[in-house]
This record gives sequence, C-alpha cells and structure tokens, in this order.
Amino acid sequence: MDIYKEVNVINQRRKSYNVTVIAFLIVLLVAGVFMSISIGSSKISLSEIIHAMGKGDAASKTYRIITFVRIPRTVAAVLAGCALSVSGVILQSVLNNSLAGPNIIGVNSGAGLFAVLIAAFFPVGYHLTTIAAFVGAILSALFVYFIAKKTGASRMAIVLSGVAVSSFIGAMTDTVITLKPDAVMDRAAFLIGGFSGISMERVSFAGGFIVVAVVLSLILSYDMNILALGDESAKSLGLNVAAIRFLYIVLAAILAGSAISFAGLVGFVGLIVPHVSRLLVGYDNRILIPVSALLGSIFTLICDLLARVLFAPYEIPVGIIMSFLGGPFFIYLLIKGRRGQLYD
Amino acid sequence: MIKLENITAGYDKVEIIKNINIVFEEGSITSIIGKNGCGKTTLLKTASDLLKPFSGHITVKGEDISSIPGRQLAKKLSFLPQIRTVPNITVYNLVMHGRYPYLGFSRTPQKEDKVIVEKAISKMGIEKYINKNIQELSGGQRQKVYIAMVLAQNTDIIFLDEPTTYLDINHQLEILEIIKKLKQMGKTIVMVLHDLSSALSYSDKICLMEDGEIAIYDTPQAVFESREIDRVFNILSSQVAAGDEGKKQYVFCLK
Amino acid sequence: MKNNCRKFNNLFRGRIKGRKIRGAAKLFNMLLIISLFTLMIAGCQAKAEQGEDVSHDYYSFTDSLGNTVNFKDKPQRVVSLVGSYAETWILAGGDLVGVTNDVLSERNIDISDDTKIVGTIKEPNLEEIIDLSPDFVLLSPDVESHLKIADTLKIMDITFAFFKVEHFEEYLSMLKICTDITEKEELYEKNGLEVKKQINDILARINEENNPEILFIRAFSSGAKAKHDDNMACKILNDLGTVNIASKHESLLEELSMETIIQEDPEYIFVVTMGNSEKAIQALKDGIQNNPAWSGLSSVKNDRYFVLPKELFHYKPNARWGESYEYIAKILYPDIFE
Repeated sequence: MDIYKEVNVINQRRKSYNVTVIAFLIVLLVAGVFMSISIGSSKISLSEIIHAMGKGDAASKTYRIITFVRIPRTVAAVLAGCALSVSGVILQSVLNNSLAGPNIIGVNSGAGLFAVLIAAFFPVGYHLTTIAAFVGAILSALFVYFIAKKTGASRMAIVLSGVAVSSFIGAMTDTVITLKPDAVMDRAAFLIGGFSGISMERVSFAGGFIVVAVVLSLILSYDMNILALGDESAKSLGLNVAAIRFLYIVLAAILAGSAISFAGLVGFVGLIVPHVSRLLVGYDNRILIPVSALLGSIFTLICDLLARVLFAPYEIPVGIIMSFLGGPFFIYLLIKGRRGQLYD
Repeated sequence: MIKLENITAGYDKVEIIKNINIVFEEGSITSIIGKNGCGKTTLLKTASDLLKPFSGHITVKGEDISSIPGRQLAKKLSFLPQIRTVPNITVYNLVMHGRYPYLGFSRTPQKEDKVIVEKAISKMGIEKYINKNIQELSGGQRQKVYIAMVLAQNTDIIFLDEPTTYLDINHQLEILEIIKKLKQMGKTIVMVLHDLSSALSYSDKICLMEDGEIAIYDTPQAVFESREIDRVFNILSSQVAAGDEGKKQYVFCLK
Repeated sequence: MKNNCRKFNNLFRGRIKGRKIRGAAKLFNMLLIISLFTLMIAGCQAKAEQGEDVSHDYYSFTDSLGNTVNFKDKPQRVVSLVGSYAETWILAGGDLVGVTNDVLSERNIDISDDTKIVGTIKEPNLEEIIDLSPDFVLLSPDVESHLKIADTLKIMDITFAFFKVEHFEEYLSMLKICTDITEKEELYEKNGLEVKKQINDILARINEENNPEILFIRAFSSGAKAKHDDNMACKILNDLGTVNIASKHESLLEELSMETIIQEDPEYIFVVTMGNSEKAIQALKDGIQNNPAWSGLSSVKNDRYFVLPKELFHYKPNARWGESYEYIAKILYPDIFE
C-alpha cells in the first residue's frame, strides 16, 4: 500500500501549506491592526500613543483619537471585511456560482431600503440606522429565498429571485428618495460605504452576529464540500439539501447584513476575496473560509487606512479605494492565473 | 430488498409514473429499460427516496422509507446520478466523501473510513489516479471514481442512473463487469440502462416501462420471449450465442 | 488589341463625363454664390432692424452666465424656477404667475391662488411653464434641467435670465436688477440697502482681535460634511471674525476626518441639518452626546454646539440676511450683542 503513503505525504504537505498560509495571514492581520491604530490623518508618534493609552486620561486628545476614532474603525474594518468575504464564499459555494456575492440574495437592496426609510422618516437617528439596515438585509434575503422556494429553491431560482427582488426593492428606495429628497445624502453615503464616524456601540451590535456566524460557517464547512457534489449526490449521502441550503443562505445574509448595517455597501470584497483565496488554497471550504475571512479583513483594513491617509485630513470613501486596488489586481490574476483552477 | 406499493410520483403535481408495484430482490441486478420519457429515472429517484411519491408506500427491508432519517438511509442505499457537477477535488477526497454518512460531528475520517476507501479504490483499479484532480480525468475514469465513492458508502442497495452512457465501449463493459462483482458482494443493484443488449445480458431481472407504468417485470429471457420489447420499441429482437462459451446475446433490428 | 481599344474607349467616355461634370459644377457654384448673397443681405437687414430696436428696449442687463438680457416691455407674467428667486422678485415688488414647489415647502411664502406651481426646482414642468405664456423666467445655472429649459425658451423667444446667489452681495445686485425692472426703487432701499446697513453695523462692533476657531458642518443621518469658505454660512462666520478649521486644509473633499476635528478642537461647532422638526434636532443632539468621539470635544462639553435654522443658514435668507449675521453674532459675542 505504498500508494497510500504517498497520499498521506501529499495530505501532510497540503496541511502544512495551509497552516503556513493561515499563520502568515494572521501575522499580516496583526500587523495591519497595529498600523491602523498607529497611523492616521493626524501625526501621532508611537511613544505618544503608548503613553496616552497607558495613562488612560480621557481628556487627552491622543487618547480620544485612538480610543474613539482609530480603534472603532479598525474593529469595524476587520469585522466587515471578514463578514463580507465569508458571506461571499458561502454563497459562491452554495449557489455553485463564482460570480455570486451578497448582492445576489438581495441583502444590499433590503439594507439600503430600510436605511433610507429611517433617514426619511426619523432623520438623524444614528443607532436606528444600524438596526434598520440589519433587519432590512435579513428580511429581504428571506423574501428572496421564500420566493425561490416556490419554484423548488434550486440555485437558478434563487439567483433569479434575487435579481427580481433587488430591482423591486430598488424601485421602492428610489420612490422614497423622490418623495423625500433629503434622504438622498444618506443614500449616496450608503451606496459608497465607509467607516468614518463609526462608534464601538454601532459595531458591537452587528459584530456579535458576525463572530457567531463565522464560527458557525467554520463548523458547517465540511458539509458545504458535500453540497458541491450536486444536489442528488449530496442527498444520497444523507445531507438534507434543502434545509442546509436555507441555513447557509441565512448565515450569508446575517454576515452581509451585519457588515452592511454599519459599513454601507463596501465594494466587492465578497466577490474577489473568495476568488483570490481559492487561488491560494483551493476549493476545500474548511480552509477556504478561514483564509477568506483573514484575507478580507486585511484587504479592508489596508483600504481603510489608505482612505484615511491619502488625502489627509480629508477622507475618501473606502469603496473607491477598494475598487481601485481590487479591480486591476483581479484583472491581473485572471490573466496570469492558472485558468483551470479558477473555473468550475 | 425494496418494495414499492401503488406508487404514483412525478414533478410539479404532474404524474409521471403510476400504479407501480414492484419488489427489487436482495442480491439481484435489475435493469429498468424503456423509451425516453417513460419514467425510468423518475422510478429510480422515487425508489431511492430522492423524490417523494404522491401516493403509495415504499419499504426497505420491511421499514417504511419515509420513517428512516436521512443519515441512516444513506447507509442503506446510495444513488449515482447521471449528470453531475464536477467539483474541483482529488480522486482520493471524492471517494472519501462516500464515507460522509458515517463521519462524526468533527467530520474527521477515522482509520476504519480510510481502510474502506482504500478497498474501494483498489476494487475499481484506480490507484494510480488517487492524487489527480477528477476534472483532469476522462469520462470512463471519472465514472470509476464515482462508483468507488458509492462503494465507499458501503450500502446494501445501489441505484445507478445510466452508468454507462457516453462511455467508450471498453469502459462500458468494464463498468458492467464491476457491477456484476458488486452483486457477488451481496449488493442489490437497480439501474437505468439505455443499451438494451447490455441490460438483457447483465441483469437478473428486467423492468420494462411504458408511459409511466410497468409493462413487464421478469427475467431477461422471459421478457425477451414475451415480445414486449418488440411491441414497445417497434423492433425485432432475436437471440444469438456469442463468444467462446456460447453466451446468450440479444440483438435488435428494425421491423 | 481589343483590350487597348476598350481602354481607349473608356478614356474617351471619361472625358465626356468630365465635361458634363464640369458643367454641372459651374452651375452649382453659381447657385451657391447667389444663395449666399441673398442670406447676407437678409442678415444685414435683420441686424439693421435689431439695431433699430435697441433704442426702444425697456431694460437690459447681463445675467450670471454673461448673457445680455433684453426686455422690450416691462414683464407682467413672471415665472421663477427657484424658490429663493421667487422671494427676491416678490421683495422687489413683483408678481408671479408661476413658481416651483420649494416656495411652499422650504420658504412658506404665501402665494396667491392665481400663482401656479410648475413643478420642483430640480424638475420643473416645461409644458406648464409655457402654458402660462410667461414673458420672463428666472433660472439657476446650477440646475441641469434649467440649462436645458433655457434652450427651449430661447427658441420660443421668451426672455429668461440666470442668477447665481451664494453670498449677500450677489443677492443685493440681483435685487437691484429686479427693482429696476419693477421700477420700485424704494424696495431696493428697504430690502437691500437697509439690510446691508444692518450687516455693516454688526460687523463694525466686532473687535477683530479675538478669532475663535469654528467648524461648520452639514449633518445628515449617517455622517457630516465640513463646508468651506465658499459656502454662504461660512462666509457669514468668516466675516464675523472666525476661522474655519476646514479652510486651513484646502481641498475639494468635504469629509473632514474625526481625528483632525479632535486635534483642532474648535471653540464652536455650527451645524445645519436636513430635518427641521424639534424631534430631528433633538435626535441629532442625542446622537452627538452618545458618540464618545464627539462628546469629548470642548465645544460639545461647553454647550457651544449649535444647530442653526435652515431658513437663515442653508436656504438663502434674502432680506433676512441681516438676521443671519445677528444670530451668529449673538452666539459669538454675547457681551456685545445682548
């Protein structure tokens, strides 16, 4: 049985490669967090930071900048990047469509509608907006799913249903804006997305959901591999295909909805990060999910840092940096990449 | 063994098969044949619980199939569909997926699972491909890998939907021989076959379907002699002795 | 041999064709020259006619886009596509036959039942406007649809003018033009020069030495944009001797980072927000108090965070411009202005 020894060797090699990749990404993430806290639009030296944080004096400007501006933004960027990437992985896997992203299940439009409604009828209600966007995202995802279920909840049905529901909700949002033009500013800010003005309070509400959902996704990642075999094979192996697809979509909706609720529509993190991760570690969801989570966080952190620093003291929306960086990089990958591995 | 009583089934409230009463005996190979659209795949899917019937009962060794939880059922019967999405995975890992119903909460394959996978791979003779990506294999080789996966699932009853279609003739015959081996292991095989000659040569029982109902269910010789095949397909069937041992072969031509 | 003959024939035919073409060309050229002559003469005549008319014009001026606007007679049916300009026209003693709905929603002006609403400031209804047979239309160069409407008005020979009013001086010159047209000099005095006097009086009482740093932001539900000195309210603040921290950092961008706001820690923060109900303003204040990044600022802690009324600091105050100056002056220098 020497051949199996070879299998073991290859499996071991794969495992150590995966572990190395993850370790490397964790290091990168920690470095990114560190940079995000120590660099900003106002020049504060590292020693000043340590001094101010150590003293804990709430009156100190440095302390306030670090505690109330940089730390919340860092946490928000990490959580949002992580959530959107994992959401993208789940959807691409479950819908067997590598062009899938959170927008396909209608979370974007649902969150947008509820955020605009709040802005139109309860102006300037910061905390309300977060909850509203979250609820809107989940509701519209459920709406999409239940419509698709009427036609058998197949992958195609979900995609089509998502497109239909998104355009319908989009029209409702536009109507609200036409009737209440004051809400336009919110809509524009929401569409571009960003982390400015974020407080820990806003982040922690959604953040809790994100952490739980990511952990759940990790636990269920093996089953996602089975789903990739096709509905019939998966069912034959004992997987409750309909139930588990529903569960995954709910998870993806919670992840995306949470992120959108405090970050707006931040670029196409959910689309490109899973692809890049796949190029790194392949299709096994048990590795793909943690790698995407880390990569997404790092990417979002770096983009947010650039957004804050490039035109200091002014900021540009994170989404713009993401598209500027992510787009060309993705094109480069597509051209250079090993084609066989990208396409199913 | 599987028993279907008064089964009516279909899709979207449209009946495809009706009045199905049939028993698939333990340790036998049954081929379901019939014209396109007569409900062969529907029957296969209903029997393997992939499709819920509109009415009727199905029992597996006396137990009502709908009362058996999914995981348990997956240990008793397996289904190999005709068209599948081909995932990006190595041969070894795909065969390992056949052990899914047996994996615990941690989803980690145990020693026992690895032994069974290795046995399945050697039975199918695909050792040299184990680390290859199945997307790189030919149709015939891929089919063997899928059958290895079904083997690894270690069920008593195996359903195969057109396992030889689109394969080269040598691979077709190889697969059929392997199916014979499976029967020797004590498994019950029910398969939909398009090729009438193969069906009649390799099966213990033939189930001929017409317009959603069973026209005849009997041994190949009996089915041949009843001339039902001739009637349903509007052809002429005859028997020849072929090969050194004078094995019975069935041939067909237009009327 | 035959080939050569064919070639020769073709050449010969070409020559004949050429003659024909040359003849046609000559004829064509003559026609062209004749028609050009006719057009020129007609043009001259037209110009001559126009020239004659200049001396009979009622009034003419140059609008904000540099166009010369001529009135043959005093306009009687005036339409304003901007609420603020409608108000200015009324302050100049004029009447309106058509206005946009922001006259009601933003300015709460009482308009007579005869005045028609012709749409919104962003999307006025061209049909309704033409239906009123206007002889003068007031437009804004900042609204896309107004620029397009101007083209149509030009074709239909309806007099129109573009006005751009951001600061008081611009309001003043617009009022002058309007009162010239309505022939109501006394209203220019009342709604223009007196306001100017009011403003100058306020500015005179200020001691230029104390220059508090301020920040002016336009807040909406999920964020805030810092405004620069070209903004109306910022100019007022500037005139009153303050320094806008946003102007220290020149940029086309408006999203000032929170870090900079904390670092600069302006003495006063002035906010204009979209909601105008008490609830909205209270919600804004609550939000600020609850956000630790904002609540630690000295302006917020010392109650120097002011939400400004939209009518005086977001929409053009027109004749109330003096009130705007007074409002801020009272906040900044409570000792001088009780």
